[in-house]
Amino acid sequence: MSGHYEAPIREPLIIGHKTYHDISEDIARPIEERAGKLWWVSFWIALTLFLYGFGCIAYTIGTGIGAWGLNRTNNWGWDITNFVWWVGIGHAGTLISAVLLLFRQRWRMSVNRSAEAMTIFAVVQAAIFPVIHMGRVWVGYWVFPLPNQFGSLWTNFNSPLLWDVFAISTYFSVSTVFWFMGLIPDFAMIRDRAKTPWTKRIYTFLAFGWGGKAKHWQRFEELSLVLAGLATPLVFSVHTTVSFDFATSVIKGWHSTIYPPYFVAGAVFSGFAMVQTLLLVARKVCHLEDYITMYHIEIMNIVIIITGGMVTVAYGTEYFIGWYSGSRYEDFTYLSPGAATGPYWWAFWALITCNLIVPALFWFKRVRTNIMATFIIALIINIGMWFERFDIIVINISRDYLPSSWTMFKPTIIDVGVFLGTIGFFGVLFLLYARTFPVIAQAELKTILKISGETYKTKEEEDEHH
Amino acid sequence: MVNVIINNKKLEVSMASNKIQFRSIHELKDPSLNGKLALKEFQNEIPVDELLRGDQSNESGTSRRNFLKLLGFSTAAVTLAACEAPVIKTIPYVVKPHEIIPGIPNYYASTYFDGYDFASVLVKTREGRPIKIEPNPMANALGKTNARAQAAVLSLYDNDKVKQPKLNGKDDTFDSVDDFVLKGISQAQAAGKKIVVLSHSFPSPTFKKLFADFKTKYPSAELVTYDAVPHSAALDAAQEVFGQRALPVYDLSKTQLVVSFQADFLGDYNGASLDTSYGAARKPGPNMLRHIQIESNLSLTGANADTRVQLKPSAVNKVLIEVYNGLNGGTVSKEAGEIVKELQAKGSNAVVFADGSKGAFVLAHLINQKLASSALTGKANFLKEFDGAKYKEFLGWMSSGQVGVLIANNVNPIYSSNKGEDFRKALEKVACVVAITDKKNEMYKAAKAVIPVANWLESWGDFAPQTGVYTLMQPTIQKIYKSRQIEDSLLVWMNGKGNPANNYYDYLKANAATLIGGTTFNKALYNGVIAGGNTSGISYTGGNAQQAITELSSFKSADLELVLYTKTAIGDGTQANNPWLQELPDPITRLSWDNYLTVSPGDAEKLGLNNDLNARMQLGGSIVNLTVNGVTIKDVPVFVQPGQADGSFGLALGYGKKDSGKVAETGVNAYPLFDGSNSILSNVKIEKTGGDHEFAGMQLQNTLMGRYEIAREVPLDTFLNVKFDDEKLGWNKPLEYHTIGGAMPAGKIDLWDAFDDTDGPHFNLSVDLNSCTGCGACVIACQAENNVPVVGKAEVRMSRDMFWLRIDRYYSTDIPANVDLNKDGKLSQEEAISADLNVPGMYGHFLDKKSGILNHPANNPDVIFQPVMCQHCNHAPCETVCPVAATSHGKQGQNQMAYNRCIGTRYCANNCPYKVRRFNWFTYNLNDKFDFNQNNDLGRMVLNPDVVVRTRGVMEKCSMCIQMTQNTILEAKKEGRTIKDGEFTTACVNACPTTALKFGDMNDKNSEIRALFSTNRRYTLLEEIGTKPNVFYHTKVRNRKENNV
Repeated sequence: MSGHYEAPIREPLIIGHKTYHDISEDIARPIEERAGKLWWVSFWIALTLFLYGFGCIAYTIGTGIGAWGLNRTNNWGWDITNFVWWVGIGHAGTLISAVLLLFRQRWRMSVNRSAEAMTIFAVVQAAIFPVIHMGRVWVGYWVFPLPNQFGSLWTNFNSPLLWDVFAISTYFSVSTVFWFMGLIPDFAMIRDRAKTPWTKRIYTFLAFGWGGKAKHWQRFEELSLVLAGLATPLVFSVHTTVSFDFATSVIKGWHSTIYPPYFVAGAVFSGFAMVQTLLLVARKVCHLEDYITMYHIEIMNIVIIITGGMVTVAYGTEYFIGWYSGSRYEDFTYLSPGAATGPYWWAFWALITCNLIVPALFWFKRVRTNIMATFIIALIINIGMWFERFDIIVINISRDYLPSSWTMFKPTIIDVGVFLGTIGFFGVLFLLYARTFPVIAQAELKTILKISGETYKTKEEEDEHH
Repeated sequence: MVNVIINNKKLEVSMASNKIQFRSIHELKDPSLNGKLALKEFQNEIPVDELLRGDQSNESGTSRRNFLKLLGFSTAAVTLAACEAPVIKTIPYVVKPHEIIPGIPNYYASTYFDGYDFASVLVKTREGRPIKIEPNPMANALGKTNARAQAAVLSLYDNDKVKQPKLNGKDDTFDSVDDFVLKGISQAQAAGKKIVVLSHSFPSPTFKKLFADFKTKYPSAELVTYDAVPHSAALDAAQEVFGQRALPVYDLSKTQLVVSFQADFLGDYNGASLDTSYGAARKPGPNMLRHIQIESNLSLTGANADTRVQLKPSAVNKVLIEVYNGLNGGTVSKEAGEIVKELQAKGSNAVVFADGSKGAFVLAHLINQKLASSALTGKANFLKEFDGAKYKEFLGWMSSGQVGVLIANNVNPIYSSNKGEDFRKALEKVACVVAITDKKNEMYKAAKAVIPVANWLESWGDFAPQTGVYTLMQPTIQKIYKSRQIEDSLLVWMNGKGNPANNYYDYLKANAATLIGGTTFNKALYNGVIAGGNTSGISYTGGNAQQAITELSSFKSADLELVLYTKTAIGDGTQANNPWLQELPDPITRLSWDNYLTVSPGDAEKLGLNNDLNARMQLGGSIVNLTVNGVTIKDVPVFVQPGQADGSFGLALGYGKKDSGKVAETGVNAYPLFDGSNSILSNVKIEKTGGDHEFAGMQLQNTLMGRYEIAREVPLDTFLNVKFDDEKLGWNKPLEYHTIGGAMPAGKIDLWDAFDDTDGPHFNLSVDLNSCTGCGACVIACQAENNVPVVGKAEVRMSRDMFWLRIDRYYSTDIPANVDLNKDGKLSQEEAISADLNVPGMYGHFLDKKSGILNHPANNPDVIFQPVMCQHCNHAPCETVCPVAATSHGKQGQNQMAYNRCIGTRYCANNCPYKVRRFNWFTYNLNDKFDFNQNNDLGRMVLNPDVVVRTRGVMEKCSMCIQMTQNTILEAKKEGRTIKDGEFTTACVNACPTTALKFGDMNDKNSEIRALFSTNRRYTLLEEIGTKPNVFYHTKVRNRKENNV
């Protein structure tokens, strides 16, 4: 793939003196062995949450959006909060697989598969919300510019919601293709090892007739680059478009030019936090410590520090502009009951604590190379980023222009159920993925075994000594 | 001979109850004929077998191919059939009534009178159904409709009403009820007992005449008046001062000063609201009416005052006495002295109102006499007829067994008096109790015979409401159920059953001829109102001031005093089962579906009572047991009311009705505290219970948070003497933006291309904050016109009301001592900040929920009302964000909503800076969870067929009554003429009694709306956002000198 030399000073990306066969064995093991107790327990929990959430969604569609805690002023609440949160989470995958591919970051190979899977599953969760938040889901297809029998009706291309439709669907399809394309050689490996006829059949189908010929590899590499080139702008466009939902409105606190970069940084921030959360578990459960090393964890923590810093700067800018604008509505939103000292002070301070203060601990090497600390901080960031979206949506519209309209939002049990349901759905998908898909891009990984494998690194070092 | 035999045969058959039913002579001959014919009816049987068998193989039945085809087809058919919407049948007229053209409304002039409210109105009917009440422009002030008059059409379609005459608790016919009553009357006559008609005030000359005839027939008959809210102190005072039991009619249009002591003269004071002439006199200018209100509760009237003094009732009485003494040369305190000075300065251009006991009324009348106030028109108002002495006498007759027959006409003293239980017991001594009632209430239960009340929209009648005015009431719909108006009943009981004279219409027509002078009956009926009726006026004949002062001084001052009042929406409770009225938020508290004890913030703190906001920003309040003079009312919720005088409470009458329908059950019944004359009570005790009451509020943020540019006001002095756009002191400076090219008017800076609005009409709506009294008539008118659903208390508590038009109410805040005031005496957010340099902390300090001043209404706040409806922006934020273009800009300036296209993303509502869009969170019609008028076929008869009923999941909002403006355009087109100014109108504009709302075409060069647009008080709500609304506002002008509060 890339060059065939890596400075010995760099830490090995694969540790434990692996051979090519060892890698195949390690990666195929979770698929070929029976599931453990832990997997089943997690799966049933996730499935229960999923079914409960599904029930809540069915109830909402059956009775009306009034099942949620929304009101005439807060017309969006947890629905769009969750939507933006999940979309944000879905950012790390494509960033890792596409942007880092273009930048030749080899450490990406151990994490890109799962990160991308997470992306796709997160986008699936995200896509649920714009659909079910519609008052009339059954005519939701009207958002597509379909030639129709309704006369000259057409969609409103001015609406950021319509942009969302395109942005999300494009992102989802490109991510899925990219992900699946990368899986083909690995499926072929599983196919070749498969013993039962059904397994063989399924993986034969999924492998798309991969034969491992040089021509196959050449095309594989070319397509990787083309798709990476296509996906890279999407990493930035999706959340930019999502931010337009707010930035193009006239509501103070939403109407803000800083939103696109701020949203993208926040999305990558939360996406990496979610990758950490999931991989630290998967690494343990699937015994992948040799492939997802402390180096990987640390480097992702550094990405979190950087994007977290960007988010912090964005907060500061918002405050400054709020004061500098001289608009009493604007400075009211940022400096007063809207946020820090108002009725939603707890949500505001949850955001500041989780997104600014706690992640700053990663500046200490001891913290960012500690697995438990990383796991906890990553979880806290996930919570913090959820609060960020909640604050943006709920605080701003609950205290809008005319004080007579002010209300507050409190979720109902159905709101909570729908959210938990998507977490369950995400869990179900991810757990099924972990048992049936090669969770590490082993074919790619094998390309760097001789460059960055521990055996070869030590050998090189020894060579240099002599 | 033959006849007899046939009769015998018939008799035998019917006795055996074995009638032969036949449809034709052929069937009589052959009873099985029908069956045979029925078998032949569908000759062509469906060839199921052939289909299933297929053609080729006759023996083997269905081929596999055909089976699969059929299976596929039928599955698809069943699936498609399941998608079909329920079919609602439209039945055409078989014989079209002469005057009805489907789709074209008919208007009838009539009189709204339900025993409490009175208005001369036009009734809009569609296909024979009354669907809307409009003011009768010919009747001037008497033709104005308040919220209750606007809502009265829904009370016609009340599904909880009594639908059937009853006798001894069982459904029965009028025939047997009449037998029962006639028997009762003859027995009473034989025993020398009285026949009493107990009715609410009934100012109908023909009814009076009818009763006189009835009394001629039955000399022991008596007519006794009973009103739940009887205005007896006012009538007693009138008796003393004017020598007759009639209230004076006031006209404020030329008045320059009104001083009101407790009198809610924009509400129910004096039997008729004065809002029309008040609105006229409040036009800003050198002679603008100045309004001083001295009161305990913050009433709607007090909320409109320029200067409001809050005192507890005993102190109000003291000031009234001092003002009287001051005007007559006595010495007075400083406060009263100022009022005296102002009164003397204005002389006959001033007027004084007082409410409370008889003494207060007498003193006010005597002050007006002294001032020679020109507000008194010399006309009398005859709407209230209660006579306490007579009623007391009647109670005596009843308890001593002297009453043989009691005909109770739509009154319920068991519910609405403090001696309800005694009344119920006394009723047992009356042999024949006939309740003419509309609900299955206490009287219904106590009566032997029940006759359903005929609604005023189903009845004939006439009224002499005030001197020289005569109005007629005509039915606009066939009686929906078996009801009968009391006049028809009296005729039957007077003339006997089956008498051709038993027709009140004929009786009325004959009698009206003597009252309407030269006009014909039909002409009078067409107009609804005509000069005539009772022509006697009113003039001063006496009045004992000393006695009044003694009476007022004898009111025992106590730590806690209570003022009973009637609310804008519910009044005395006559229409308590009307969901529109229950949901209409109180203009002051902005709470719906409740009555409550209003307590001043100071007292609340002292007594440990509180109101708290929950996580949805809705209110919870302490609950108390209220005891007055030994009578306890349990579980009264407490509402902390800024503007309530310390030491006083307020509690509204008319709530807590049992057995009068589900909707009416809300709240607590305060009538047990009310003796029929004293609405102000001393010796009040409260005891806090542990509970927490859940209020349903429309607006929980009470102040403007320093955003005074939203609801603007200016002192009269500034208005008169300072140019509106004066660079420094301008009170309505046009908004400018500072750009790189210098200051530019806000309207000139724009991202968007303007719509071409030069072709056809371009509608604008003007809202004058100075004239708006907050009465709520427009809100109900909008609800009735546009089929706005009722959502119920629980949903209002979720802040999911559906009002297309709301009246925001803001209080002003207290000003801390260390802050310099700006010219309008208000503290803006910026000033609050600059008074304390520690900015972020500052915000916390000023805006804090507990101690923050901007968040806290002042103890005696100024109140400002602001009607807000869709602003119909020319650059509407909602239009750009809808993904499916369901909301878009209309050619005539409207922002339009295509319900069918809406997919319910609610983005438009989020992006609306005015928050006027309302989402259908649930299905509000034919849904048992919303069991209000839209859940039954009767209640749905009120729906306006010109406006669609919205389904679940779509957004809705004000349409500027496009169905009305389009109708105007089409009418003019048909007649081939241009449209005159004033023809375009909307429901809210029509209903407004003070002309605060105006509507018209901006493209009509001479239109009033264009003139209004160019006045200096005009401003645009949230102009800086650049939405360019088609609704504009006019700054309120407060007529007072500064620091005179």
